[in-house]
Amino acid sequence: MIQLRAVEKVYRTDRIETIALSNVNLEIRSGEFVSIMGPSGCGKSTLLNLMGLLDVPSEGTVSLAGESVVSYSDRQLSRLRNRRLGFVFQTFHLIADLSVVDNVEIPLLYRRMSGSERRRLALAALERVGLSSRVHHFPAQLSGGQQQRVAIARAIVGEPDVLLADEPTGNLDSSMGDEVMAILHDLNSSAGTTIVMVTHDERLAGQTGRILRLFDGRQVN
Amino acid sequence: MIRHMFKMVWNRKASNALIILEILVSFLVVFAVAAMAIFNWRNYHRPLGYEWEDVWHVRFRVGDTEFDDDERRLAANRRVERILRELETMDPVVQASAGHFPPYTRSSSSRGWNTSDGREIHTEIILATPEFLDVLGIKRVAGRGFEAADAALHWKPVVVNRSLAVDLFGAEDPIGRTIDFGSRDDDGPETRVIGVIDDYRKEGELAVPSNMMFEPFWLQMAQRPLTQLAIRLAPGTSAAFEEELSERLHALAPEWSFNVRSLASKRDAYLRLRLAPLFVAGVVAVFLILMVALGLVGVLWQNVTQRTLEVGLRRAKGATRPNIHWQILGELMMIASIGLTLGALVVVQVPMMGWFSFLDSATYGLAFVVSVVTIYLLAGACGLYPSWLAARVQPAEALHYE
Repeated sequence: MIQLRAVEKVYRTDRIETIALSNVNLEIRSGEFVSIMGPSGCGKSTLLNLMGLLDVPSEGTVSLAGESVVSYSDRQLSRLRNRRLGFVFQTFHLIADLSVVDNVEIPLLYRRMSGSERRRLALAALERVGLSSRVHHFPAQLSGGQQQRVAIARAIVGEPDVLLADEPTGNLDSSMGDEVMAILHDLNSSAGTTIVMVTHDERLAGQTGRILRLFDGRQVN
Repeated sequence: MIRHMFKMVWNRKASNALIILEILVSFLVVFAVAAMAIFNWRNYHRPLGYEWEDVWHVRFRVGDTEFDDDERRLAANRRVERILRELETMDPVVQASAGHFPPYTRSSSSRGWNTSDGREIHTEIILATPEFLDVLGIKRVAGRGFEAADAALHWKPVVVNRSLAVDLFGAEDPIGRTIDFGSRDDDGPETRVIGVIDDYRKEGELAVPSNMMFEPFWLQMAQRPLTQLAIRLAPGTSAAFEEELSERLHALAPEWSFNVRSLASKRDAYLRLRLAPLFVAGVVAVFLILMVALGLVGVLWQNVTQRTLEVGLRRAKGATRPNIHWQILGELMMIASIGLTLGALVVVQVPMMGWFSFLDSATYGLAFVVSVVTIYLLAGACGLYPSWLAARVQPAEALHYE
């Protein structure tokens, strides 16, 4: 599903050159649940950004479904992000001024779709994460776990092939974290969604199919 | 998407209050300037009703005792008549007349009354010798001007402008009709309309159109003398003629003092006087709007910066750069619409309260449209750079923005 070949990511300023990733080669197969682990600053989020087409590598190629996206235009990348990728972030990134259901509808705003169809899909996604009773609440009225479930509903509302989760349980206590993990496992097993999750938690990583470890921007396994 | 933008704007109405206020103030300033500009522009393009080119104006002062009795008044009028005839013998003088009031003079005489059927009529009165209409090239649209033989009539002939004719007689032909002065009919002889002129906008191009009535002045009668002359000269007469004219006038009436000016120079002075405050108001308004525009750009810039995370999120969820660009601009247009709606509510109150009643509904409506379009353009222009900045945000960086 996702392939990285000889990927390097270097951040350059006038004086400093920081190598975030070096010679990363990996393949995420369709339907896999992979976790990425490593110490802070080792390049986990950078790797996830590259896989999520949010950033471009300095060297090497990133392929999605067998097609290199390195030369894709902004419009093409946006379309791929919209259709094939879903994102879940550690700090949820919900828009405080929008209700739960309006937050979930956001990815569908960038598709040709009627308002009623958008609403139907958003409500279905919220039902899937068990938040049907909170559709008209605002994020501030929800607990952290509920907010992350809204973020997951938003990530899956467009039925993406791949879900990229950047420390999705990082801001949650263990019971809420387990709830979120249960949803992710359910998505992976029942819908066949490919999931790549960055985590610091060995216990949660242990629940996934494969663990990729990074250290100083390099793969260590 | 429009519904989504509206929700964003509505749910953020408190934080958008400053922008809404700026837009409201800008709208009111633009509306005031536009209304005055359109009002003056429309007046400027209305027919003046006369030709000021090659016409000179003479104002003279007579001795304090000249108007004391009928004998002195008649003598003064006879002298004015002689002056007019003498002036007409001068080479460049085409025709000379006397009258209150020539163009670009601020003095006026008016009369108001209620007709028998209760209509309120108001008009300015111009007292002039029969030649006055021809000297000023006043365009007649019906009937005739005054003639010497009119002095013998047992009724008073008058020439009115179109608007007064309509006020008096509606769509009916006013020629030969007697003016209904209501209870004031006993004041003097019957007054009949003998001619209709297009207009006579005495105070010039920027003046508000008003009703006008010309009454004849007979220099052979002992009326209080007219002290202003209007003289038509041959085209191309140079300013040097002023000296020759002044000398002749002093020779004809040594104890009177004369002030000679061309209507062209009076018009220039008049336009400068009327346009100066408008120009100053315009400059002040432009500066105000510039300041508002700078403020708007600043507020929007800050607004976009505060929304960096949201922009990153939208980009991650599939928004293209144009999507972000239009989202910011679209929201700004909606905010502008809220400000304009509030502005419209304020502006609608003005005619309801009877303020600025000289502005007709067409001017008011046009000023409203111009102001709305201007504010949308201003908001759009101010939003271009911040929305461009937002569209350039790199999603990976934006998602880690704090």
